[in-house]
Amino acid sequence: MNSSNTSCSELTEFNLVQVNGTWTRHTGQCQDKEGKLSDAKIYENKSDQGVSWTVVSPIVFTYRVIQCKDLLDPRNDTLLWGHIEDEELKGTTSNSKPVKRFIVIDKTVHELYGSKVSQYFDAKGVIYKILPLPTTEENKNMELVTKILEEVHQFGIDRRSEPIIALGGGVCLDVVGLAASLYRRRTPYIRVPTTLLSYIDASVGAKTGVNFGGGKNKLGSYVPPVATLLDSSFFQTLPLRQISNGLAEMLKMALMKHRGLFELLEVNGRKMLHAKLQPSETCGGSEQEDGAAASMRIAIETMLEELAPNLWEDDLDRLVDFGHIISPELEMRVLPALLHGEAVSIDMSFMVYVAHQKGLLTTQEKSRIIQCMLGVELPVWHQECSLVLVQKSFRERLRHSTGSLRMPLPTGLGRAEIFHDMIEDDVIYQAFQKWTEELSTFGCNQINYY
Amino acid sequence: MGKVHEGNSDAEGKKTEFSLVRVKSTWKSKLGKKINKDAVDYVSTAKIYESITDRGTSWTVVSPITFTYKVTETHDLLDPNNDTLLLGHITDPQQLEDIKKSNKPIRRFVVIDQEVFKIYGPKLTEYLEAHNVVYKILALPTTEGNKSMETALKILDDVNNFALDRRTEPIIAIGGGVCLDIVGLAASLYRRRTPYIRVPTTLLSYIDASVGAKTGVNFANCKNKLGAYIPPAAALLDLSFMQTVPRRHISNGLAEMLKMALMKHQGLFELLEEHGCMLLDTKFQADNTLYGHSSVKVASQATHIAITTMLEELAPNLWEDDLNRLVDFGHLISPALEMKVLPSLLHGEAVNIDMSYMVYLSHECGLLMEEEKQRIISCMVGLELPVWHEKFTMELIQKSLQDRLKHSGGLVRMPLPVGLGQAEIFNNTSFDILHRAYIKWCEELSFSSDCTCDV
Repeated sequence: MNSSNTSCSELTEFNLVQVNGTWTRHTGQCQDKEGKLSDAKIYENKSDQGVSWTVVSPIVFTYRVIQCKDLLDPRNDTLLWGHIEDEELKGTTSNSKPVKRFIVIDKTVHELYGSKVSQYFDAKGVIYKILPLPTTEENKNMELVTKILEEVHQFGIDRRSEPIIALGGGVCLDVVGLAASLYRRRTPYIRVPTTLLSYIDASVGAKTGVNFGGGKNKLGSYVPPVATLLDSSFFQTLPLRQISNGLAEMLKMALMKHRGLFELLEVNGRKMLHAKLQPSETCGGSEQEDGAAASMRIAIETMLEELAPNLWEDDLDRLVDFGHIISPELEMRVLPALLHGEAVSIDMSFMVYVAHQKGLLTTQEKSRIIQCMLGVELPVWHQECSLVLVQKSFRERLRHSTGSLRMPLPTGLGRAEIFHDMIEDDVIYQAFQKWTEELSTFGCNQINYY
Repeated sequence: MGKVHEGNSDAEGKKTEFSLVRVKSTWKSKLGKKINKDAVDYVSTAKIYESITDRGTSWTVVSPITFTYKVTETHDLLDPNNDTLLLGHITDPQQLEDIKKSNKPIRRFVVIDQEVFKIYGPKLTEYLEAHNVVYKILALPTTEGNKSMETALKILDDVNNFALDRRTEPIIAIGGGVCLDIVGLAASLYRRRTPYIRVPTTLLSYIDASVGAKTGVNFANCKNKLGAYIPPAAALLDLSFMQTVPRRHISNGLAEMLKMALMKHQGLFELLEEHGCMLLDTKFQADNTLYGHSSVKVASQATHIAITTMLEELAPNLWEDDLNRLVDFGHLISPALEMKVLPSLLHGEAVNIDMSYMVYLSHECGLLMEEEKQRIISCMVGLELPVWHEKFTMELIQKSLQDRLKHSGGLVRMPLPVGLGQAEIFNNTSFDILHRAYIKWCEELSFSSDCTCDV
């Protein structure tokens, strides 16, 4: 039998060195060689079947996440140049070439901030095109991506130095990110999240995507933006419901990794919600970091800790999946009744009951968590989140994650473990019963949203 | 990182480096570079740099992603005794053993070019049946004309219904460059990344499309305007497919081989110069009559050099961070020519016309000697490739070079041969020289335009 992996073979490792624009492979040590040494390697394996080469090529993704204020104030350069490291900046701004930018803005955001954006670019003398588009879960598809690409192509941008700017919520950032990843196989782009959810979640990682065949985010890429620009003043024009929505993802990180963040939300959540996380007047000028500012910073840091080492999800064990095992199915099923964070909250709420049932959380801890959710006006139960839906989601998870459940569960306040074995049926059943018994009364909240 | 701040940092603009370590299921950031490896399960190669200003905090994430892929020669890929098609992409011996011992049926989704399916369909089906594979074969036309996002989405519709495992069931693409490019893009998009395997069935795809990371489709009448840089898990190379490739398509592939020779390898050039005809006649197969064993030896040598020179150039620059690329030779003007006269010129034919002009340009710049120029053109003619085209006008050249400027960060980055098998990249070629070279090129080669008529 001819095997593809015969043991009678000769393996050679090659380094790659570039001299005068030409790359050549070399065996052995290359330090003494003149020219540029690559991090990539080629392994050549000669056998009786023929030759087999294995290419090992590391690609380094570098991106910046920048907190800023007054992003749309013409005195602030961040929107145009925030993605460039300071040392390179001088070369760019002194260049006489006119600056060009293509900006995709969510339609609702455009109604609120469109004129400010235009004023900004006019003041900076930038040649620009603003494309306002409705970006919703329902039209988050390849068609929308194609529409953006047609406009970008017509406008004409430089391959490397004119990043596409996306201004809006998670859907907008995901769609534009995918379009940019595809154009010329990779075009730089900048994310400006305008919702709390996108601020701490979608904007900080590499994922882009659109829905396909009835499934959430079935098509996409892992290409990060060159920069994400975080200006929390956008939240001032958000409805309270959207703030709660974002707090769900913040709470997720707290429950998985950060007791301090949980306690901030527990104590200050309601206040932060109603202040829309704007800086508190009493803190102005004081040295103490404002609760809202601290929460946002910690949420970002904990998210970055989890995403940076696993940018392309090579490891399917991911704490950030907490709240995302049942919610995709639930969200799509009741679309558009639940916002993403609301579905996540319901998922987390149920999982907290599972954790309690398994003896990982005390009754008091469980109670504190649910209270915290209610405090920030998040839903904790939903009638469409049936036992059948839960079981289906768990089965899908098992299938989708190469045979291991990989379920993150809290094991205390602010810490968690990933569980690999399928949860026993009776545990799920008991947890579901208790969850419904104790929390279905809170399901009335959902009626207001229909 | 992650601590509740007590006061604003007075170290304005200072960057703090954090390493990332995993303890059981949780990642933690640790200050500095020194990590106590005993206390943690794993240290990441990624890093986060934090700097705090009065406007807030900013973080720079540096995350290396390593792409590993195999390019494997094999014989009789569709012989049921050969398991390369199903397992050739696996690098871990333990994993291979586990699969061989397992009772679970192997599942595969195969996309195959319609014309290739007509010839190899039955053999493929027989192969999959013999291995008890649960399979779906999607045969469809893959041409430059339908190399679009629409086609990729059509493929994805079927893939989605097949319910592939996320990591262990690579999509297999069998066909020429267009097929491999479209399927590669579809796979890259599905679940943000699904493994796929390339089986090139033309000479061109064998030495070019299959060996790098690029995937893509055309858009707005421009070649490969949309795509990704995700390599396959493996490219499986079986020269026996060349037997059923028409002679014209063998020439087509030889153009890309010649490109590598002109840029990097005098030995390969001499092989093509001397044995081009034989390669065309034998289609890279063992020949028992006229050429004897030498045909296999030459075929093998030529393909090896073509692949290793290509890999040398692609591996260190997989995502084209460096826009100076020798492999762009023959590709500055040919994309526009190819799209303009679609479908009358094959990709390699257009590339060759571009290269032919560039050789004249090189000579005009004093980089090539007259004799070298002649040898190259003769070689091209010997490989039965077109060396001139009436639609390759000065206007097309200028427009293409302008587009090139836009596309390549403001520089032309024109690879030109500076000897046989040596090249450099140039940025300041004047219109004057371009024009003079063009006049000479037309003067000396336009008579050969008969060769470029549609077959």
